[in-house]
Amino acid sequence: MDRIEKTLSTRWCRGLWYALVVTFFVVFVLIPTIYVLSYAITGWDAINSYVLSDPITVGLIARSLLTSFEIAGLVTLVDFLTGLPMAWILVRRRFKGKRFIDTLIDMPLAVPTSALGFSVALFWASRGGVAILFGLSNGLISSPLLLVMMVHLAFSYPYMVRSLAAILEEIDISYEIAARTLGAAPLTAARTITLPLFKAGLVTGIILSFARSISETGATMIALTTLASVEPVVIAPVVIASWKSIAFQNPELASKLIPAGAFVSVALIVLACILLVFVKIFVTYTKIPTRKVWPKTERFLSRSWPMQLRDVYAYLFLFLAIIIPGFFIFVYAAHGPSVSVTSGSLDWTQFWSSLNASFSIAAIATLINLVLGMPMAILIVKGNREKGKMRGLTILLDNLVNIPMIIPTVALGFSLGLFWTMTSRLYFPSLAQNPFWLIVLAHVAFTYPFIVRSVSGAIEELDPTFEDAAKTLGARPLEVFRHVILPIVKSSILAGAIMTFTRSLGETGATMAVVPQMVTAPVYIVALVGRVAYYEAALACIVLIVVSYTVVLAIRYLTLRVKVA
Amino acid sequence: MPEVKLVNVTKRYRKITAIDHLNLHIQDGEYIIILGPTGSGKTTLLRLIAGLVKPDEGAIYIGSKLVNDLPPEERDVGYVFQNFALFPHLTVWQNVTFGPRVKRWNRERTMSLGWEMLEMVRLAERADAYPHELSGGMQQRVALARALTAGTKLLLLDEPLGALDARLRVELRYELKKFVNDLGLTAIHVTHDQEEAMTISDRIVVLRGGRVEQVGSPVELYLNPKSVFVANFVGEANFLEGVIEEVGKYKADIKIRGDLPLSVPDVMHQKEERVVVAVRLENMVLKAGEVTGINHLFGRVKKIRFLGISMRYDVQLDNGDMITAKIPTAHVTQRFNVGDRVTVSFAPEQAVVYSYPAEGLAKELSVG
Repeated sequence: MDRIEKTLSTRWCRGLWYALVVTFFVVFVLIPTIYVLSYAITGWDAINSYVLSDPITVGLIARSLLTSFEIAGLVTLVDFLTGLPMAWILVRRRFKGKRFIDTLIDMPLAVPTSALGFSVALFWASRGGVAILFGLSNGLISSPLLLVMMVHLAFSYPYMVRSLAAILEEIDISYEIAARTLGAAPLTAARTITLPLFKAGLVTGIILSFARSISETGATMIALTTLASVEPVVIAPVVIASWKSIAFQNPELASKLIPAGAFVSVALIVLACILLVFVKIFVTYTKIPTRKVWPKTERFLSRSWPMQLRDVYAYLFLFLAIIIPGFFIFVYAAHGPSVSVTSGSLDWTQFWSSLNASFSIAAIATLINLVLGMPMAILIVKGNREKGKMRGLTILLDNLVNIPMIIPTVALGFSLGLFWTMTSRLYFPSLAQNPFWLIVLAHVAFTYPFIVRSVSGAIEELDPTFEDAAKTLGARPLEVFRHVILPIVKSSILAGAIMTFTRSLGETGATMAVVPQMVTAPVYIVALVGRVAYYEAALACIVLIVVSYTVVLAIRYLTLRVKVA
Repeated sequence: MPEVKLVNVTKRYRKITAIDHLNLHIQDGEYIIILGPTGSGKTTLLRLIAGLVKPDEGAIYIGSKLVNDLPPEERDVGYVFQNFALFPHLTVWQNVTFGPRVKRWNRERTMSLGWEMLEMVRLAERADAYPHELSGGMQQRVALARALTAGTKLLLLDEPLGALDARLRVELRYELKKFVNDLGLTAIHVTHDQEEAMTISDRIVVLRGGRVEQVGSPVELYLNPKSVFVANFVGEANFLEGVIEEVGKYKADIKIRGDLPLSVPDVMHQKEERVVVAVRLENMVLKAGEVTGINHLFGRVKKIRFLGISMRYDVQLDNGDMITAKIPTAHVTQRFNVGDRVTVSFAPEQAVVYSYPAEGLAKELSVG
């Protein structure tokens, strides 16, 4: 052990290891993710002749993109307006049951989006849902766009609250207290002191919520099928995923649909990036108005009843729009098949195998990312700290790592599908025959940033003198990592791993866009809903929710108990 | 044996030169204090010796071994950090035995040295506590025990008492010195607290702008500061600007502002040269009214501060210059009040004369 650790700690060995880690990132994450952009150039003729020359397709694409961005924009706005007071309550208030609320907000994160989306859709738009209360014979919501929005809110809201709360936590409360001792009303202090300091969290929150909404495929498909409207609604990720599966079923259409899908993917990526850059610039350079102060009004609004009103509003939204619809599926399933629409039956063997596939993929992707993403995080933090000649490279890596997080997963999946079909046809024919591994690769790519970001965030906060202390006491680099860094940042690694695992488990778009023939649990649920087998779909969702919760709890329990030696 | 030698060592951070062609020779068993203002390169010097940063030029020797390319874990030094850097996830015992553990010592040796050190710092009964459960003083002692358990003979201390409150700082300072002496260690201790430096060091190294300004025993530094900077930094002094009027065999006549004459022992400077005369606050004598004599200057009391063991009088001379006199409370025979007319004087041999600093007196005196 000693010899091994000594050898592994040599500079040569470390260099090799880091080179491997960076290479992995570039070859398996970065290039496949953006490969579709190059297809837009090499495949331009196909795009031109099959897509751009056909006004119907162009119209469809334009409408789908517009709808996607509209929904994502509105969802982000609502998330912000309702998430801000919630984040405030979570950080600045002390009350009984705060931990409970904390956990409630995180709960939708651990539920696969298609299960969550189905539950929300049933709640708002089915006869057995909230409509019962009003005695309606149809669902309460009849607009497909509104329903998709409600579905997207349920899973993007926690991201907004979390990122706002995280930054609020870092803003020292004493600034606000100082402002109040200088005579500012609480609301004035919060508005003029805390909010302007808040922008960084705002950008993260907006990017996360927006990216979640724009990429969600499974839940969107479910929402649209639950509410089969007269006028078909097209949304970009759904379009890509369905074209890909049609192309798979009818290979003769592939020559037309693949370029079309690539075109939508490229458009989605480019537009999303432009919009996010614009948001970042806009938020950074817009000054929150702090000049004017309305002492009377703001003092009035700072009194206890308007504050209570704010709290009530935050809680109402949390429960009525997120938690109750999100877990309505349990109530729905409890009613049994009689209430629900059902045609066809749940094929348990197929469901178990899809569940098995989902968990295997999620577990393998998490493991790969832990092993290869953690060193990347360390490399980034070290490089940024050392200010040496490596600095330029690490800053570049630091930014590149975020790319898979911003790119809509369905476009990413499509890109990966193209890349690996191309390379495997050329170099490893066996991979092309193996959809399982293709999907693992896709999931590795889009979850990679979660591990890197949570670990690098934790290491950045770690006092570098711990490392220095360990070194002067005689610990070699690998021992410093094992004995000091790892145990201290353990919980952040765990959080990253859970995030990776659950995101992989719930992903529909990236799975369908890579290889349509592989059925994972969320894909299977989408198919069940498509066949209007609601009761069976609900059962499958519940199993998926329960199993993924159990796994998350088990991971947490095991890692917290096993001491890192 | 741990003598430490730095030859022409330079360390740059981008454009800032933290250590500038520095030479230093530290003997085995010495207690060295590195004293200097913020940004003088004290911590960088320590980090260079520990191997936490690498020099851009020059050579560093520990014992007789060139250690330039040796990583910190192979240098066998003990380092006590300003914030202690106790590992938060490990108990006191695990912190203290961290060094032996990563060095793969056998259990017996680890146990015996670990307990010995914990007992030395009187924390054996807190072995199972976590760092956050300890007071600042205890944490400091754990940090020291941890550095020593690794078996080092060279102890590097980066403002080890800086995070503690005033009284504890004074108490632990002597304890620290005692441990180092008892164990026969070489210690290099960085501080900006001159009292700390004066009381426990064998020699003081005054750093300024990454260079050694002066090295010497506390007494040497106090009595013969080589520059205005050292005179100001080690102890407190009055500085009077003037011009040499006449150079005699043993003494020089100087005119300060307002054509006031001073007579000081000096043969180093030329006639007409601009100089600075430094006199320690505690060497000033205060008399009531106007009394004439050599180096007697008239003025008015501007401010009085009672410091417990001494009184400080700020006197504005008739030429506008300010002079401070520090009189031990026990020796106060006559009390003065603000606005009183007084005479400040000093014996010629108490004054030290320096050439006027190239960058101006204010710059020389700034310690930020």
